[in-house]
Amino acid sequence: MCDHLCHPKGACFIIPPHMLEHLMSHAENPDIRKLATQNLYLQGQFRGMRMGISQFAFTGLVTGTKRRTIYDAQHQQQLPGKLVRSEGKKASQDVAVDEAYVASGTTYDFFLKVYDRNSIDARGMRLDSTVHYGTDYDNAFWNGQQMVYGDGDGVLFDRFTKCLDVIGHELTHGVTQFTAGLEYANQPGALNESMSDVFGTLIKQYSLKQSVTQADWLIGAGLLIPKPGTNRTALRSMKEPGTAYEDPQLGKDPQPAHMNDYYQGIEDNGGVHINSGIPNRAFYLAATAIGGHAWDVTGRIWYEVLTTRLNAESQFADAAAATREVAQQNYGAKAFQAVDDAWKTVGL
Amino acid sequence: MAQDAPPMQVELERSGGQLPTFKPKYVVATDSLSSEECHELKRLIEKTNFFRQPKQFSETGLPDAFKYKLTVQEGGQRHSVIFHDEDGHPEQIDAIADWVRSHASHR
Repeated sequence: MCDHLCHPKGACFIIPPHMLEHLMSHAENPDIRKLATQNLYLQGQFRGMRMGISQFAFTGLVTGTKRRTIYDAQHQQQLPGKLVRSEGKKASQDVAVDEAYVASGTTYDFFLKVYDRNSIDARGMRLDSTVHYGTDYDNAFWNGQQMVYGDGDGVLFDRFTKCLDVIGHELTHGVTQFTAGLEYANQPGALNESMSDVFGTLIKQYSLKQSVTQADWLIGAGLLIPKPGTNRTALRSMKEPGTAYEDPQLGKDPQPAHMNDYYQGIEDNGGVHINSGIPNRAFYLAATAIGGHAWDVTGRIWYEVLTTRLNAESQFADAAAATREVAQQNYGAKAFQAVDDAWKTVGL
Repeated sequence: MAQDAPPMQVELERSGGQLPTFKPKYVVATDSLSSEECHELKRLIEKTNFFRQPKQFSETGLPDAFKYKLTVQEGGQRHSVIFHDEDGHPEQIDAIADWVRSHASHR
């Protein structure tokens, strides 16, 4: 078994969490700090994220209030970077800083007001974000403790703080981490991605006060920089999976809309961003059949399933069965029929 | 290209992130670089002790993170390192990757 911080998946965890937390904060070598952070994440992931990460996340924090902290990586890849804005401080002159601040606040407010959830861990966890990560970095990700945003390359991708639904998507990975803990591979991984798309778009719809018919059901609309003769509409379409982009450099949106077209390969961690099109479309179909505001009945069904019914190894069929059951029990025959029809339409 | 230096080729492949279909590959070859650029690239690779780096840093499982494969071929030597965002790899590896990305032909 390993005796160092960087080890293969599944090897022993010889360093206890409290020591990793200390290393993460105090080690002089930035590589050791990064390894300690990563190892703490992995320990949490393997042993139960609620034990590992939440202990760290609360260190020195007051719970029960909105706490946002924005850092600037200054184009390096060291986290968290330089503190540039914290809760209640005035807007900066930096659009990425302010977008990250506002959108993480909108996400916090959404989960609190709609689902009575106090931050992503339900215990008031501070929402940390780092902007300007790396050079021309074409991505945003959740590192187990905080949000990380790149500026994009300015040719294909715009800055990743631009889209509220992308920020909501990433923060929802945090909610999933603290609840179902869906593994990030194969069907559990595609469910993980889908849940992030579902709540990402709900946060956007809630912010814009859109009904199911007014919503665009796109994830990351405007993030891809338009180019004549190509389709760079968005990252994903929940309404019509497989139609969000088509471009010589980016390729074609590979998302299936039905289980008949389920991707069986090993790319993309077993198709987590590909097969998520199937449950995404099921949510869209259920929401539009139920009508009104999607965060209301349909969102509540999916939220309850994510937070109380799914686990690390849940499959699409588990999510379909659980949403049917919650719809029936809590919202009656019409909701059940809508959810049942939605899953049947996508082949589940 | 610098006189008397063995030819070198460096490739960076990236996958993961938000779009599973977008897997850019960047290549630089020293025979198409200026002498100054050759020295700069070689200095980065030597500083990283690249040929002694592990073949793979552990998979992070972080949602939406990138995965990279950096390959250096110099004379009879060839070595690849697979790494990911926030997996604990030395930041000097990022410096090589950034350099290759900014100097490469993109394909």
